[in-house]
Amino acid sequence: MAAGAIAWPKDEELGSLGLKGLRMTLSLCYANFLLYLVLYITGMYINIYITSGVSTISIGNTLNVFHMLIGTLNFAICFIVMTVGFLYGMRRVAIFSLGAVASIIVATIGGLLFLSLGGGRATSSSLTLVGGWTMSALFMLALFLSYYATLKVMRAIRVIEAVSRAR
Amino acid sequence: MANLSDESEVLSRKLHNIFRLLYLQFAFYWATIAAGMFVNYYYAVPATVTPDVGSIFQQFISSVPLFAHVSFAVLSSGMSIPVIILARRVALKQVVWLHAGAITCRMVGFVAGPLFIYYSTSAVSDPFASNISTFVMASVFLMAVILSFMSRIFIVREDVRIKYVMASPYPVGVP
Repeated sequence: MAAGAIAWPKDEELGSLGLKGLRMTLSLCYANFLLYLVLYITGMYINIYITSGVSTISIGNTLNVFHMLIGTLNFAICFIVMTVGFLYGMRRVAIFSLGAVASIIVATIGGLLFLSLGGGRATSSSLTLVGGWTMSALFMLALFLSYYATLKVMRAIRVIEAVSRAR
Repeated sequence: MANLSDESEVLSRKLHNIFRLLYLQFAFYWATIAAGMFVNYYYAVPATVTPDVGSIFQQFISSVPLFAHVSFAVLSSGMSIPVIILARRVALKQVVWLHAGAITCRMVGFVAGPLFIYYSTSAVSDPFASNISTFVMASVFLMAVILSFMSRIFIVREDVRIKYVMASPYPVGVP
């Protein structure tokens, strides 16, 4: 090893992105959490105050359109983080994000099923309920998986900072 | 990895126990919301339920999704107790406060949940209050998840500090 080169700890997944790139990825992850928060609140509002167990909701409902838009942005960020993980050798970040991406895709299918089959709990078929349940449960799974990916990015930053400082 | 001193090794082990507990807690959080969604889509308060404590609490046993939801909610909240104990041992004040906050949020949720059933009973039938109760329950759940999420950030920081700053007899970065 060249003199002055840093010996990075081998049991940590630091990737080859560098500190600046990692910080940018972390900022994206934090932005994604804001989107998750908005997605959760709008979803909850629709669930409690619009459908309320009896009413239906159309795909063109303004709040629903906003909810879907946020979901799309959420998907895009998860996809970017996953790509970064695969391209820059951060296997765990990539796998957690891949899980989040897959969850969001299935959740979206569930959501569309819910909307296309009536979008109301009391008046629609049992498949509507399956769609709704799948959407909600997988959204939450995506949130947890994204969180673990974020933690891995954050840990890589902390390790690089600590090791560089120690040097 | 650098050689760990005895003290840092003990600290590291305690932090890893907290990590394990948090994995379990997050799994229970997820199970709570999954079961909660089952309740949300499949459960309706029966007309036979009366607005009294006995009748409301009986619902928790008579409905399977509701029982699963409440059980996972109790388990996920309960996981904060060992986390607080361990965090106190490693002097991670932020983690203690964040989990105390998470438990407090869940307590509010535990009041809002039965209130939802109370306001949904045919005798009371107050949709506005029932919706508010559900909204409060879901909001404080999210708050508890956020607080628990944040606690893990502090634990990761401390773990990195112990491994790469505190325990290193030599500067880790020097080849």
